[in-house]
Amino acid sequence: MSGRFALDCLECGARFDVPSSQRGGVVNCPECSALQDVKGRPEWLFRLLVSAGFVGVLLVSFILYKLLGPAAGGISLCLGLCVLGAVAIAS
Amino acid sequence: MTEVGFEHRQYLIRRKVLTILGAKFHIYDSDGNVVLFSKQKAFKLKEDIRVYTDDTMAEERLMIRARSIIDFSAAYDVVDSVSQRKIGALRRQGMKSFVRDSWQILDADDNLIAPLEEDSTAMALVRRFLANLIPQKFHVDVGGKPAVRYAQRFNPFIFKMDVSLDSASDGVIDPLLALAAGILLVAIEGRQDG
Repeated sequence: MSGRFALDCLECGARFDVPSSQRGGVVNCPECSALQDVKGRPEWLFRLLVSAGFVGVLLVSFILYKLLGPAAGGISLCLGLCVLGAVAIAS
Repeated sequence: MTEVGFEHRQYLIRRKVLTILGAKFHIYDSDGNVVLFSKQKAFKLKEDIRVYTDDTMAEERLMIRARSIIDFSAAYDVVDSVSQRKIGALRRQGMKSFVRDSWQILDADDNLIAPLEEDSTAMALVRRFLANLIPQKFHVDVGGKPAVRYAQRFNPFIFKMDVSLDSASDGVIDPLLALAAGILLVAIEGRQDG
């Protein structure tokens, strides 16, 4: 979490240090004051949860397919993928 | 430090919950005038709250944006949309907030200005385990003196929170940052109440 990294201002090109804690946030360039987006870290936990959700949808759909037939499995798969798609869009 | 139009000592934040579309926030000054308005989107994973001067949403005044989607100690940058200047940040202290809601008010470089905490651990525990109908209270102390106080009003239907800025906040905490903290308390902590 500690430490700093260099960021180049998109407006004036000045290079300045930003605390690592500000990744994903915004900062003002110390030279020209332009507001800059700071690139965030990869959201590993979020990706892991979405992947787990995808596996869960496949698993539940397969179980419903075996127990109740192809219609139940198909509906479950479609609903699950819609929910995961909505989560991906919202992110 | 005092922003034009934000010289008042007392403000009221009122949250109107719209079940599907999210929530609306009106912030009134002590004369009862709307000074800020915000509409929180319901399906936004990475919180990005835009605050406007009124409900026509013609002029953006503040931007409150989370730095990540999932973060145990989530930090939110607060930007004055008029000057495009970052006025500070607010960081939720995840572990401490299990027992007692705790935040940190940070300056633009992430240096601590002051902690923002729920009134007492005992009351926080009572609210969590016995009755979350008991209104929440938060305080910000600067130099051992109360600088900002947030007090939820008892109303099971409409969430209302009084924000009081004391003289100890003058020149230390930007009133817009104090109000942004209030909006976050209502939006984030209020969401936990349902």
